[in-house]
Amino acid sequence: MGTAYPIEFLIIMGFAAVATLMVLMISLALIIHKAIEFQKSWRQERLYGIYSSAFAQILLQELPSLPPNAKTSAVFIQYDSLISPIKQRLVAMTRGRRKVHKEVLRRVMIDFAQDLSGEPSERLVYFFYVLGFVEEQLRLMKSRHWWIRAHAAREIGLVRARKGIASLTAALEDEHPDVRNQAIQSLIVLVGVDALDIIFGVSRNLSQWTEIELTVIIMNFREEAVPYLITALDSYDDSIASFAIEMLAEIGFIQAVDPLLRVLQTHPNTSVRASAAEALGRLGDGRAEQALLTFAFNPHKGLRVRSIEALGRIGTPAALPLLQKRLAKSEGEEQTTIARAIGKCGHEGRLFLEQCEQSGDSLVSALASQVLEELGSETVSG
Amino acid sequence: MATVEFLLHSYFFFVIGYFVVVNLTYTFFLGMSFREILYYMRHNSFGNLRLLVQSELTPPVSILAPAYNEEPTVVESVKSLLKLNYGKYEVVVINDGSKDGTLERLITEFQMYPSRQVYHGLLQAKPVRGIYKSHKPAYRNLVVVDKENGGKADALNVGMNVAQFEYVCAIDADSLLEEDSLQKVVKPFLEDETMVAVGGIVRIANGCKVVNGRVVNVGLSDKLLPIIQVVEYFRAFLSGRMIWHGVNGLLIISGAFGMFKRSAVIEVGGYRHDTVGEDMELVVRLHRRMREWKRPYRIAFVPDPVCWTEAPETRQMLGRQRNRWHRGLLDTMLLHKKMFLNPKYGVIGLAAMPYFVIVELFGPLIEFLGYLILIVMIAMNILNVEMMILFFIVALFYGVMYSVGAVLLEEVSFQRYPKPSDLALLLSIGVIENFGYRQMTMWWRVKGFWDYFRGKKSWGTMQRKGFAVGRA
Amino acid sequence: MPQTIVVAEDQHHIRSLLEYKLRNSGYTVFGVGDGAAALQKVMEVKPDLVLLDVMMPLMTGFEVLAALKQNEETRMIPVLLVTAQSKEDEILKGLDLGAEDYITKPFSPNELAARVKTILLRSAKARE
Repeated sequence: MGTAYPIEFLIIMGFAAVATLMVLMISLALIIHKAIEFQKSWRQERLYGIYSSAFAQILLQELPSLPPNAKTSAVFIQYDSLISPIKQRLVAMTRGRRKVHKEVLRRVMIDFAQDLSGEPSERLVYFFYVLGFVEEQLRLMKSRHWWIRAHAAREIGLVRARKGIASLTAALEDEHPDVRNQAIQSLIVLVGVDALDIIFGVSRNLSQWTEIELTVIIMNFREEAVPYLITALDSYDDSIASFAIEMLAEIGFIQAVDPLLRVLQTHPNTSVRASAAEALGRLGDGRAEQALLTFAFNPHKGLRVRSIEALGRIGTPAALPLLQKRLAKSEGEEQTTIARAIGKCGHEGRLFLEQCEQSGDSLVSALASQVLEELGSETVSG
Repeated sequence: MATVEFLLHSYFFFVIGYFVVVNLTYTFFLGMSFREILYYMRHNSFGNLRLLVQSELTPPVSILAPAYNEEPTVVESVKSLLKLNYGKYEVVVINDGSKDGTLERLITEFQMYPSRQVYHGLLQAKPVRGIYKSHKPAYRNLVVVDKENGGKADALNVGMNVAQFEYVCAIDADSLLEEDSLQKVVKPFLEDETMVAVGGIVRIANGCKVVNGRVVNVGLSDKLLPIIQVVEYFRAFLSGRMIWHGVNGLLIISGAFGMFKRSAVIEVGGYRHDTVGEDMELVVRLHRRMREWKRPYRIAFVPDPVCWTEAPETRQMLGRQRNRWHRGLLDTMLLHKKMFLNPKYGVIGLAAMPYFVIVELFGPLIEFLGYLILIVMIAMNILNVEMMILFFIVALFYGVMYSVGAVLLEEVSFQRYPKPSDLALLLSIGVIENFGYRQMTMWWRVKGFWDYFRGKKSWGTMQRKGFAVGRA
Repeated sequence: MPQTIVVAEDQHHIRSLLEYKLRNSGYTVFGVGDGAAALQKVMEVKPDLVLLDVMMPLMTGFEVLAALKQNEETRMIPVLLVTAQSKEDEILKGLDLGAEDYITKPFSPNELAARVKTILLRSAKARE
């Protein structure tokens, strides 16, 4: 090396320094991450044990019965006396410690809230308010970060804070889908089936994922959800109308036939009408047959294919002449659908397919053969 | 003499410059990956995937598993595919004209009969000899297609034709799927209806305990080559792909596991038969066509381990794999050179393709030339030895940093390697791989270049076989 | 002599709640945190009743229940199952295996105590 360092040497040295620093930092981060995680879980585990024993007592402790003319606030005064030792202890702590303790305490209380019903769960709800957990979550609902808002929306449901209904309703229009989905879940917990009214009224453009989450909720309510679903058929939002249609078919609510027919005949969006056709097929009610027959000629392919499929599901021989005529003239997915629909139109349909299998053009006969095989396997397995 | 010296020195500076740019990119990638993974993990903490098993609206999926001469393992693989944790799905096994008893084994084991299902040749492929279905209700969602041999791409095209459902999952014959893998890759499709393809993390199964086609215990191989590849895969998946996912510029979805929207694949014409990089080529073509048709679309990557694959354990096998990957990359870039630096193709033309060409494609070549010139400079005695050593040390440190960062990403996100000793080993790989392994892969890739252009002259006679191992 | 109850529940908070409630109702209570320990404890103390959570590590409640019903010595001990939210098939499976009764989460502690009391009365009568 000469006396002066050349420029490339300095560049390389700079890089070496940065790289070394980075490696050290990353390794350090790795070790610290592991250590903190370990220490935290150990400490929290211990605290969790302590608090859950303490809380079991608080929740179950017999309170002196109140005179019948006591004010409603009297019971809260009793509750206050139960929680005050814990509250005082929390106040006495340093800020850092209090944070850790409150975190564990909240977990304990939420776990209890999940598993308990009856009077103890009323105590819990009151304690959530008194310890400031509800206020805290309501504040977090206004956070800049979506994950904090989503988390808060979930917590409000978990702590059963009815005070949060308004902000949850607002969260149905949040910009991030996870916040909206959590708000839906929590509203159902807090309000019950009536929440569907708000949810269908406020939500827009449901994603398929949201629909899947909603399905599970609605299938729990079943018939109770039907009035809300029927109202939702008239939603301005096509995704909500389609979803309601699908759910009505899934629940199998036979009184839904008339409203569904109305959607099939009048809805401005053809794909919503196609879903209505499909749903009518699944409900399998003969009243829909006439309307479906007219739509089996519709120029819109989706609507036409769904209508034919639905006719097959209902399976009345009256549809046969039409389907037979269309079989040879159509192609692709539509042709297969028609062949399947024919197969389901009773004995005559099967007979027709058997004829097709023997004669006709090769594709039709192959399709007929396929459908007969499918039908055969269905009868074997019931 | 002076000009030669000048040229050599300039190349040396060029290498330094290249090195600076590439490493800055890597560092930037690593940092961004943390962000993307953090987002994914937060997002994943909401939304319960188990709903996909319960809900009636869960979209059904077709799994496409091509099989070529897989007689010893095919039955076990199919059985494990039939036991995934998902709502409704079918398994389509495509027997690609195997010369052994693959088909017979399947037929006897699953009591299959020749079905009369009509075959619609939407995508062009070699003729289908028969479609088989099972008599047993337990195997009702299994379909076996027998076809003439045509390679993996051809087999997958037949699979696309036979698949009943809109979401198709293309896998390798030797892919070991995670039980929840379908749930994880279906979710992005449900959240965004413009989604056309989704990939996931592929891990290396060597050294793991596998029971009934399922990885039950994660461990490391006792051979060095697979362990190095574990770190390589970490880097490739956790940092590289996450970034490209973030800007919708993902160019690779592993052939070992990828979910596609069937209608989109059929629209763009399916897999190409005449390339060794068919999985990458399809993804690039999806980008290209969607942008040409001005359709909103998205191709995503979920940083969740979905699938395990057996990595080559010998130098010879690994060399062949890397050589093939590099030819595939080169072929794909040449087939779509129209997109390169073309603003019409947005982030693909201006960022993703240039990155792949400059860093991935030419990287080994530049490095190789660097070594050559080093030798020449030593021979001419014009080398500044101290500088050189320093340079190597820095290169080493950056390599280590990148690897350590990737291992850290893995550690904070999925923690699949439970033993601290495994973790320490993975970290030390960052150093070890720079002595020998790095140079070896470089050489294979350079050879890939050579083979590609030599092979091009005899395109017709070139036999394309051996798709046993997919692109990582 | 107070009657004894073994409470098998892996979740700490529910276990301490059940223990507290049943102790206050005058029983001797042994709490354990997993299925294997539950089986061991039952063999050891031969309680008058077993409270079993279905979802437990090492051995599920069903496995413990099946083992208890197979053993001649413990066959007669009534078992009360605690299951997560109204999973019908789980409840049916439990009753099939020979559980006396079940209670689903979320539950009211008072109702649980009342059920425990009736089961104990019933089994005492059966023994007479």
